Amino acid sequence: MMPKKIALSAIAALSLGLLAGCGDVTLYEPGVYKGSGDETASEEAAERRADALRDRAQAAHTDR
Amino acid sequence: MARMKFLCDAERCIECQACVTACKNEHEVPWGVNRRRVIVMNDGRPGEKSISVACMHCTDAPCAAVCPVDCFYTTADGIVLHDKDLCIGCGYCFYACPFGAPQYPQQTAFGVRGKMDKCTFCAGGPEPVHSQEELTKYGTNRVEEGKLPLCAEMCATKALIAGDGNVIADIYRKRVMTRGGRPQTWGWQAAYGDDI
Repeated sequence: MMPKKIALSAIAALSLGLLAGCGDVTLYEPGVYKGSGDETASEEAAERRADALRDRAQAAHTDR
Repeated sequence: MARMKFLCDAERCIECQACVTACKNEHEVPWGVNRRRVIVMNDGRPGEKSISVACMHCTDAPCAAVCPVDCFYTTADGIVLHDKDLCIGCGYCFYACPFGAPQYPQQTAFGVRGKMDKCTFCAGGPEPVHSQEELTKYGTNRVEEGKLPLCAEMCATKALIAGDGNVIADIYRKRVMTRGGRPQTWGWQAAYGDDI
């Protein structure tokens, strides 16, 4: 039969090993978008289309 | 940076439902889902008004705040979009939305909800631009072509206006100054808060 001290030491070492795995793991970051990226959502894309949309709004909604 | 907004001029809306039809036709929205609706206030009484309502693409979108799977994102020009691959159809966004914008297709028996569907400001979603996946899940992407939402572009009385907030506010301001009366930017306070 295994001595009590060795058994306790083995359990402590195993527990430490298991807990060490939880260190830097982030399971869930609340409030942050989790979906796939959208290339048209960037600032560059918004800047690129801004002038065209502004002109379009003036043309489409202004009374003739 | 432009900030995209919707504005419905209740003095001009004639409840023709053309915006509703245009949206459904453009994006091939399924039966039972209306991304845009026309609401009539004081129906049949003096002072009757109608307004066209859809997702207003809020500044601090409450739908995004309550989503348990964080499937919402906002583009740099303020358009609120979501990823249907992540959506679980829980309905939280519907309860949070002050405009009743989120819609759910009924997919099976017993009223089980499908993936949430809402107005995309004709800006598609997180799929390759103009791909079949984008068309099927979110509809056409007009904004990337430099076009505004079709509902607003084809409004016969120009009641529904969409685009850069500064531009449409200016257009509306000129209208109110010309015709007199008080401005009624319905839903703007709820949607955009002090960012008006």
